[in-house]
Amino acid sequence: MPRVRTKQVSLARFAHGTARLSPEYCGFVAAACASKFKQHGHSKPAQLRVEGAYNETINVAWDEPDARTEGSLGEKATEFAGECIGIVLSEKLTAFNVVERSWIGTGFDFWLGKKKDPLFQRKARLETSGLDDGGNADIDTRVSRKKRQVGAGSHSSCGECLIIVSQFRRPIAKVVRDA
Amino acid sequence: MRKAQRMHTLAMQEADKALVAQRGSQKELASTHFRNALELEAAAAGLTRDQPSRAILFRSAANLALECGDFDEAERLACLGLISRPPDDIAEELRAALDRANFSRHLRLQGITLSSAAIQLAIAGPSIGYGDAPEPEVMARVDTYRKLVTRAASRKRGLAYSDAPPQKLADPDYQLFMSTARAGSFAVTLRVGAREMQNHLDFDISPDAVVEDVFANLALFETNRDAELRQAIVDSNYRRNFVALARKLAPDGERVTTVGLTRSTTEGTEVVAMRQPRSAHPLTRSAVPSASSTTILEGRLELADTRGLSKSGRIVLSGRDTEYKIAVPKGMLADIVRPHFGEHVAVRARRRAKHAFQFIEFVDR
Repeated sequence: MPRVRTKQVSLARFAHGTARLSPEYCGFVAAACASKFKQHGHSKPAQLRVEGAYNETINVAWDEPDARTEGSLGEKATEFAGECIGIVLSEKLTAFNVVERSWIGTGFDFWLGKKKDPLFQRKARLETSGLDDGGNADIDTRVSRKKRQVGAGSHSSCGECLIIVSQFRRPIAKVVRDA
Repeated sequence: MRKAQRMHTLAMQEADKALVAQRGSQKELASTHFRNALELEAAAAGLTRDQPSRAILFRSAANLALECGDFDEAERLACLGLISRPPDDIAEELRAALDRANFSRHLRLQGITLSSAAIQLAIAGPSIGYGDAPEPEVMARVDTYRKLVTRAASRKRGLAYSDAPPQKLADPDYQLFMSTARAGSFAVTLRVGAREMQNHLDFDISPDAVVEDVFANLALFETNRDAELRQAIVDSNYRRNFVALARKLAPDGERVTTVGLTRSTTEGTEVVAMRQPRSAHPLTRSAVPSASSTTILEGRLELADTRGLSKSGRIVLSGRDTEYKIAVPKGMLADIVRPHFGEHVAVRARRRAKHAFQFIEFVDR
């Protein structure tokens, strides 16, 4: 029987930025994610269970967040940590990368596509969310709320919407593809 | 298009820097970066002709303008985005940005001077016209604000929480005064007055301090800062009561979509804009039972009483063929449950035994 290799992602590498995301932003949300792993006493690497459209476990390598950044995360730490997991998973699991962002008032709206796509053309949207605690019902409730928020099934500006809700106590991420 | 792309990338880098500065409590630096991001994003939108890119950039620029507190610019940018036939989903979001710009303008005091014990309460949503609103949407919230003030005053005076019916006083300690209503979308001024005799009492709490307390806790409630709310209202009965009342004040998400409170402080104007529907706020913020263990009971609310100061309350619902006895946790009976006495209601409850239930909340039928 062939051995299945567990996929790995490194928050330290992500924190250096990606082709379209600045090191300031990536470093900040990576620190939020590491702080959540630390808060819930997860191992290094943390074993993130992925469910929904995918079914696998991904090892997330993380280091202690620096105290200054950790201190400035505030009440939105879980939300930022959810953004971090959403971005790294979409890049690891799908053929897309986060290629564009736009500002939506509470933070960024993420657009998935290929690096050379023209600005906001033929792209998928990414919706992320983070929860500290809760069972499967809480995750499903959050997914439903996100679906309502993005107007399920009416993504007239793009092909589909990828919804990724992460819960940091277990840790687990639910991925839903909404066409 | 390339120039637009470059400008958009720079705009998002500025927004990144603003976000980091904002988290580090560097408000002025964050504001400068947001303003830079707004100018770059608006310029990128103006250079773009293709959809959906044009609409997305205008939506982003409008939201950045809201972040800068520039409501006129936000309105202009949202309208420009809507003019050029955007895709349906982006059009919906542009309309939401336009609503926020309009409502933020209504939250301004527009020449009204508020004393430190007064607030402006403004509501907006599909059922609210310009200066015209269904009476229950307004009066229920005015009544809820009065209860929030009364409970905050009792808590700050160190009085133990009680669900017992209040004594009828001709001249209560903290009376609420209401101005004539004004357009915007629908706004009134609510002022807390106090009897003069309170000033010489050691335990006296000024109306200003009570309003400040209510305001600060509503801001924590709206932003889901549960840990800070627990620190601010240590007594669990008062906290349960506050959360239940704050949910009543919050928009229902359909008829009313925003409830805004504005007050003047020595440092300027302070605003709490409640935009999350009440269903997004968990009731007790702890140990809410899962959906599987709850049930909906319907009937006429026949009895609502307390069983001594230290115990919780109980209600009796008379259904078609049966009677339900439902325990009510402290903090809920007087202000949340008792006003429905004699009405036909639907209650979400947790089954504790075959014929015993625990009250969670009233539900719309």
